[in-house]
Amino acid sequence: MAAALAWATITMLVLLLGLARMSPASRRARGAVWTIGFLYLLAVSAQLVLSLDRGFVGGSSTDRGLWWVQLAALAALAVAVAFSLLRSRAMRRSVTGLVVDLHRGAAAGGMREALAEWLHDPSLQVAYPVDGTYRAVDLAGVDVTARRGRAASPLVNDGQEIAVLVHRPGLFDGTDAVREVVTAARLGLENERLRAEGLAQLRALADSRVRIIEAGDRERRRLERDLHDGAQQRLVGLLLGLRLLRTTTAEDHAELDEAEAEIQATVEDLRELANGLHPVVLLTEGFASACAALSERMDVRVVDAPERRFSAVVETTAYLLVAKAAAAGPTTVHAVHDGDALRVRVDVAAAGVGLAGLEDRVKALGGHLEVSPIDEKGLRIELELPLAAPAVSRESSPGTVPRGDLRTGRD
Amino acid sequence: MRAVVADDTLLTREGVVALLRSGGVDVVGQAGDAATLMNHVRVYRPDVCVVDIRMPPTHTDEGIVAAAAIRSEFPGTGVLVLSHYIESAYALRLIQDQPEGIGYILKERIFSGDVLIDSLRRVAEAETVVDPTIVARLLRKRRTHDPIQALSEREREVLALVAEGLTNQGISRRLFITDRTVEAHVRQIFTKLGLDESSESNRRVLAVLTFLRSA
Repeated sequence: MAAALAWATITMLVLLLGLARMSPASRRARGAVWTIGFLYLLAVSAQLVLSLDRGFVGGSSTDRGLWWVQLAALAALAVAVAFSLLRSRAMRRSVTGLVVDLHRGAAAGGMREALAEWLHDPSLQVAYPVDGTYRAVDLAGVDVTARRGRAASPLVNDGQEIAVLVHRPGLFDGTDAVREVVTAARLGLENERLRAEGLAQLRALADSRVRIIEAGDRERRRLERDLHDGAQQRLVGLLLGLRLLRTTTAEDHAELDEAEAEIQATVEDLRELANGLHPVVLLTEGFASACAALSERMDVRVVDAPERRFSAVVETTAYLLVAKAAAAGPTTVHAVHDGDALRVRVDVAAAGVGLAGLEDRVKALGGHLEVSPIDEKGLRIELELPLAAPAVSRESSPGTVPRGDLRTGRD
Repeated sequence: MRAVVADDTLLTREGVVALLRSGGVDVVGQAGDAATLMNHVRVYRPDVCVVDIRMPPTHTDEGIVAAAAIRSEFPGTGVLVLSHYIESAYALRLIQDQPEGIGYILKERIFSGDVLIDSLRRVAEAETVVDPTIVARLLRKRRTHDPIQALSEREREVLALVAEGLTNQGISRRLFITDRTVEAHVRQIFTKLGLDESSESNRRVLAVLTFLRSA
C-alpha cells in the first residue's frame, strides 16, 4: 500500500509538472485529460492515505465517497480521451478538407487562415521561400527572423523547406507537432508556394518589359542628341563658312544663294526629324510643355494638362499618344493627374490612329488604352497610366532600338 | 561693343566669332562650357555674351541656366542665346525673371542679313529679343477661344513685333508708321487681349508671350 501511495504521488507530481510546462496548444489538446487524471490520482491517494493505518482499503462512507469520485474521474477520463481524439481528428479533417479545397483552387491565403485557426494563433504568418527571400503568398515580405515575441518554425518535407511559420513562441512544444502540420498541410503549402513563385516570375517579367521600353526611349533621346551634336552642327558650320565666303566676294553668286537655301532647308528638316524622335522639351520641361509645343506646330488644342513632372516612361507614353493623334488629324487633349494615375483623353477628327506600338507599351506599364468612336468622323482615345509603375527608373543611358516615329505616328 | 562667345563646337564658335568681327564687334573671349564662360565674363566684363543653348554635360538647356547666372551676377551684361530649338518654352524660361538685356534667336537666323549684329546691339541696349519664328508659331497656334481673331491685320503685325521684343520706335521703323500710330495700336491690342499695358517694352514682351503660350 505504501508503494501504491508512493507511485500515485510521483505520478501526480509528474502530471502537475507536465501541465505547468505544457505549451498552450498541447494544453488545449491534452490538458483536460491530464487534469482529470490528476484528480483521479488525487482521489486514489486520498483513499490510500486514509487506509494506510488500517492496512487495507475499507468500506466506510468516506471510502465509498472516494470510490464514487474515482469512478466519476475514470468515466470523465474516458470521455476526455475520446473527446480529444475526436477533436484532433475533426481538426485534421478540416485541414485536409481545406487542402482538397485549395487543390481545387480556393482563394489565396487560405492556408494562413486555416493554420491560424487550427493552431489558435491569429497572428500566424506563413512565409514561402521565393527569390531568395521569404514572402507571403501575395509576395508581401515576411520577416522570418525569430525576435522577442515571435518564433519561426521551418516546415521541411523531403529535405526541402516548403514554408516557414512565424508564430508566437511556445506554439509548438516539439518537432512532432510541426511534423503533424507538415503532413496534414503539405499539399496546401506546396500549392501556395508554387503560386507565390509564379507571381514572382510574372512580376519579374513585367519589370523587364518596362526596362525594355525605357531603354528604347533612352536610345531615341541619344539619337536626337547625336543628330544635333553631329549633323546639325556641321550644317551650321557650313552655313557660316558660306556666309563668310559671301562677305569676301563683292559680286552676287546665285549658286551661293541656292547653296545657303538648301542648307537652311536641310537644317529645318533635321530639326523636325530630331523633334519627331524625341522632343527635347519633353525631357526638360515635361508632358504639358511638350503638348503645348506640339500645339504650335500642329492642330492640337490642349484644354487641360497637369503641370507637374512624371517619370520619363509615363511622360513619353502620354506624349506619344498625343503626337500620334495629332499626326492623324485635329486633336483636343484633356489630361488630369488623378491620384495615382495619369489620365489622358484625346479627341481626334480622324478615322483611325496608328496605335499598335503604343498599346504594347501601355500594357507593359500596367495601364489601359481605350478607343471609341465619337461620331462618323471622330475618335476618342482614353489612356490611363499608373504612376507607380513597376521598376521605373529615372536614369538615362543608351539602350535598344526605338519603336515608333513620333512625328508621323508610324511604327 | 565687346563680346564673349560660348559654344562647345569649335567650328561653329570660330564661325560666329568671325561673323561678329567682320561686323565690327570686339570678341574678347571664347568658351566651350559654362564654367569657362563665367570666368571670361568675370575677367573681361564684356557688354554682351553670345551663348549656345546646348553645352556640356547634358547638351540640352545649359545655355539658359548660364544666361540666368550671368544676368544675376552681372546685370549690366546682355546675353543672346543661340538655339536650335523653336521652343517657346525655352524662350519664356530665359526671359522670365529678367527680360531686359536678354535674347533668344535661332542659330540659322544669323545667316540672313545682319540679324546677329542687330540682335546683339538690341540686347546690349537692354532690350528683349525673341526669334520671329517662335512668335509666328505662337500666333498660329489653335486656341479654344481665340481673341487674336478679334485683331485686325495691322494689329496682328504689331502684336508679332511686340512679342519679338521691339520697342515702339523699332516697330515704327519696321512698319514705316509713326510712333504715335504704334502707341495707339499697342493700346488697342492690349485692351482687346485683356492685358495690362506696361510702358516698358521688356515687361510687355513677357506679358504677351505668356498670354500667347497659354491655351
